Amino acid sequence: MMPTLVIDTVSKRYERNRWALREFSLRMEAGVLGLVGPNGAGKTTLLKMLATLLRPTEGHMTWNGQDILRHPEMVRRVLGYVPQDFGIYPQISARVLLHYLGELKGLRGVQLRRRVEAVLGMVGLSADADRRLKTFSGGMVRRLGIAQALLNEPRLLVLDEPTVGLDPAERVHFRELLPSLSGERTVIFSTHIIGDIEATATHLALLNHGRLSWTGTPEALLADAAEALWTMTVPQAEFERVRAHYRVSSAIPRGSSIEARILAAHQPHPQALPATPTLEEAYLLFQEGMGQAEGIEPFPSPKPI
Amino acid sequence: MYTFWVVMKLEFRLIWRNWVTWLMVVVMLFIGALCASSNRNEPWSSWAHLGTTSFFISLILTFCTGNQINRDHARRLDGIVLSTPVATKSYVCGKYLAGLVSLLLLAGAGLLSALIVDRFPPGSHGFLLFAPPFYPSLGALSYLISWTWLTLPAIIFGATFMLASLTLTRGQRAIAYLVSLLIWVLPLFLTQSIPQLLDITAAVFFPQFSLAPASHVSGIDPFMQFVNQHPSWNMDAPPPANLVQPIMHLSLASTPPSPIPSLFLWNRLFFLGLSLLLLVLTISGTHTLRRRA
Repeated sequence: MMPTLVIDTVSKRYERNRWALREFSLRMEAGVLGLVGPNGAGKTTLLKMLATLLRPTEGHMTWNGQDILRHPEMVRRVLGYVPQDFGIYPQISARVLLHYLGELKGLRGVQLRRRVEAVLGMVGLSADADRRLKTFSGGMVRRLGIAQALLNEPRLLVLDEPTVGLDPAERVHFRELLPSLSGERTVIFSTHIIGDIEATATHLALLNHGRLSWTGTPEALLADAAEALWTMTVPQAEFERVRAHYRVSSAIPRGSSIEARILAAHQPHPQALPATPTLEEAYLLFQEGMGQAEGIEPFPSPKPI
Repeated sequence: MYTFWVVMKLEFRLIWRNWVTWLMVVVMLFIGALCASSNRNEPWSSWAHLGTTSFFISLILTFCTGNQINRDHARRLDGIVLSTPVATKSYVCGKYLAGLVSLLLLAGAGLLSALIVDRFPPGSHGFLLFAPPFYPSLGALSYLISWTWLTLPAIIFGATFMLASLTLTRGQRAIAYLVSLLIWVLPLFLTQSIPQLLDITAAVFFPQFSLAPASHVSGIDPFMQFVNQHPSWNMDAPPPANLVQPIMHLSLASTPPSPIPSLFLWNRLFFLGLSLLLLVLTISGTHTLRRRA
């Protein structure tokens, strides 16, 4: 049976009555869920809760029917977690650190050695495995973080902005890696980079001010934005006038003119032509809608929560 | 149990890959050698030298430890480590014992250098801060006794106190250092005001190495009687051959001073018990912090 993650009306309140997360609910089986939202939306708080590092103020979370809060050790056995921000022991090598974390995750002997070699290969660190970590670049440390999360072949993989600090090639490699890992796993990752979602996520959850404001597939979000993206090439002065009234997703200078992509519910300029939005533009459009509605009613949502 | 060894092994490796640890080895070797050379120069003050050496060794080593768990937090590694299935007590005890064993090895380096210098042949020439060894070897037993009674409990307490302080205060070093300084130094000056049970240095039991005024020491000890009987003897010069044996006899008889008060044993047990309590507190605190990493 496929393990199921159920998050039931979970809230988290920090000091001074500040709510980081409000009544978040989600049910998920195997697949890759991308969590997207502005800074302070509650993504890291949610992922820390799933990693058993934070207790919710209210609500319940279960994994395979078992309460995560009562039995955190049960989920830790099947968990792989990459925090948003983490450090290393500079004095030791990547291999030693992975052996250490592998042993803590319950791996032993030949199985441990095999897994360490496998994850080093997956993240392209085999050649640097015996170098001291103080010589590693930020991107290499990040890849090491991903490697350690994969050591125990986790059923639940929680990644908090895993691609931050990776160069474009490393990011593409990660995008290739994630789908190959997903299989029967539940993968939840947060990101600000919509391209990562586009390339890897089967599901998408948008968070805003601690609340789940939308969930569905990337295709559904794109469909919502299908008639709200316009492209036009106009002189600079006209572009400035349009920009004052509409949200611009991109503006590329073309000689004395500007080729712009505009988010708007109706035609923003006589020369504007409908265009196919990217997922990033669909997300911006959704955020725009949220801003206008001031959190009262989400912008077109096929599956409101 | 296995993860306890895993945590301890890595922590031990991290400690000994730090240059400060090796600097401490040099410091301990120096302090140990200094103690032995002082004993060889003034054997009648051996217990004072051993007490002072124990004081410095335990205080210095206390200042060098305790950051094992807080370091994981400061380096933001706790999220990764504490989301593994490792039990909190295995994690804390592994970190603690790696620190404690390292301190004992460092203190052992001081003991080793003292034992080596103690074996040097007598002579009349000093070297830098080392006094000339006028008198023969004191023997290993005196060093082992003082290490066991004075250094060992103080180091165990220091290691536990600093681990608890730095873990539970999330690395407030200034507070931990100040409190430990007060715990170690005050009894040296306030032998009469500090309850005997609370003196980690044990100076209160052996005023010979206390820094407090010695007016409360009543009576004249056998060594002072000996000095009074030999007014021509110059304590700063090589001793006449006929006085070496009686001086060594008197010195060894007072190392350790006898009788050892029974409250001294309770004092040592008190600090060991307190250490156990602090360790339990650290485990409990880490368990709570684990849900707020």
